[in-house]
Amino acid sequence: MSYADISLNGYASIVAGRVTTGTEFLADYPKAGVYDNDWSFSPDTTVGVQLIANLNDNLEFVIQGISNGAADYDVDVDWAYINYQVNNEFSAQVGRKRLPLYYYSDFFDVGYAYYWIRPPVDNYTWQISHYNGLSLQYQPYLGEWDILVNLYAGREDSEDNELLGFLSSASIDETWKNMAGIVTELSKDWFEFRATYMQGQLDRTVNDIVTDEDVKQKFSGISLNFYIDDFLILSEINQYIRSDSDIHVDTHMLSLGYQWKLGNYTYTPHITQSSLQQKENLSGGDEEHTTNSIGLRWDYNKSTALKIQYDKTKDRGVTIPVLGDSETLSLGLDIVF
Amino acid sequence: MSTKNIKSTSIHYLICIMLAFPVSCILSKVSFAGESSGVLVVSEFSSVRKVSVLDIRRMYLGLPSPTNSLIKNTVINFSDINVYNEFLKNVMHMTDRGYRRKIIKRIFRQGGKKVREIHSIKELVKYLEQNPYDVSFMTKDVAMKTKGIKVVQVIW
Repeated sequence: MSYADISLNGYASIVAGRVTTGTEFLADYPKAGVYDNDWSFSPDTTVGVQLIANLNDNLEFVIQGISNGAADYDVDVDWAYINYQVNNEFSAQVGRKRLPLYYYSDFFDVGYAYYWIRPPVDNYTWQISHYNGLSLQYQPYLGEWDILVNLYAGREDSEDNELLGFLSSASIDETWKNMAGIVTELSKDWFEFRATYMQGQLDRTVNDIVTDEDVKQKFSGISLNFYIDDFLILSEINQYIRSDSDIHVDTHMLSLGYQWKLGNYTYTPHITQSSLQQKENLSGGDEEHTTNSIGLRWDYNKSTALKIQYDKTKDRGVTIPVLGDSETLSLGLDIVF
Repeated sequence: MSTKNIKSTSIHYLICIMLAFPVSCILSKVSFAGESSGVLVVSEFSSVRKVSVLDIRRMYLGLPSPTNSLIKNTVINFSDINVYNEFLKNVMHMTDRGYRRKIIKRIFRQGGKKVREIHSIKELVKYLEQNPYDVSFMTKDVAMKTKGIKVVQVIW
């Protein structure tokens, strides 16, 4: 009997926060994690464990389980797929993966991987975060540059969707089907460019009544990041269009950071603005909110970071307000292991 | 300024540039002479084969190794921070921050093993002895003096 070569990775974010002005702050849209006026660990606290089993030289099984405070610490399967390495440049995956719409979508819950407490909230507002299907990755040789082309196709069925249920107080089942997308990335030590496009169809059932069926939707986005000496400039601009429902949403994010090395520690102060704006439509859709954030990351060692962040959200939606204006203070500890 | 003076000044500049170039070349050679090149090392009993430096870079980023190389894992030699920095500069073409950012992203986006870090030559030799398909790097000078390992190729 032979045993597979198994490796284990993990991450954890322990975050406490409270709204200091206003009543509520939607910190985690996909899982509907909300802060109010009392200190709470639930909205952003997360633990994840990743297990990779090498079945042979070309085949591995990858599974990642995650427990979020926002989901009452239930353990969910974040990834579960078989990876087949065709050659040095091509690989194919079949199974469940995160839906790579935005720059941080793949590692949204891995707080250690970015300097904020959470990725800028106004960008990461979608109700579907995963897909079940097929993914092809191509990582060719390009000298000092790294390139990734990812093609994927699949669907996700979400019963009693957390975000839609939270925003509408109804039981909503949502399916994103016939999804097909492409992500391309070009990066170097000091520069990253990412472009993404996805199209598919949506079905929605509200309190067991079908309200949407085969509705076409498109998502596109571009990210540009610069790491110049100690300065970091991170940016993201995205667009979501559902023409049949007259829904057109634009989001953007711009962030500046500075990495300050002092002895054995690195401190990264940062400021960020993120916004979501929906074009007004005939059914009164006018969701619009902006969040300005200021924060500090302290890299205590190679696998531990401490963070503090202050977010000020302005909610301008009249027909579709989210949770109103708010100011929120959050403190976090991120580790990878 | 007369035309004669301009000509004379130009000739002086030209002579200075012509002298400066070979002098700077000699100086650069002198400074390189004090440094040792970097090599890829394995256990002395390993059958690992030579690969391109580009492949070594990709393997240290967590990408698969060429199957004919027989290399299984890469190991970071942290026994000397200057050697690690030379490795990053000459092979990875990135800073420590950039490298760590890419590794974290790779692990938690695509799944992947962490790159093992070893902090002393003694430990490194012991590890390579126990893992004959794993590779690491060190300066040629240190590799020549260290027993139990062999050089696969020069990488910088």
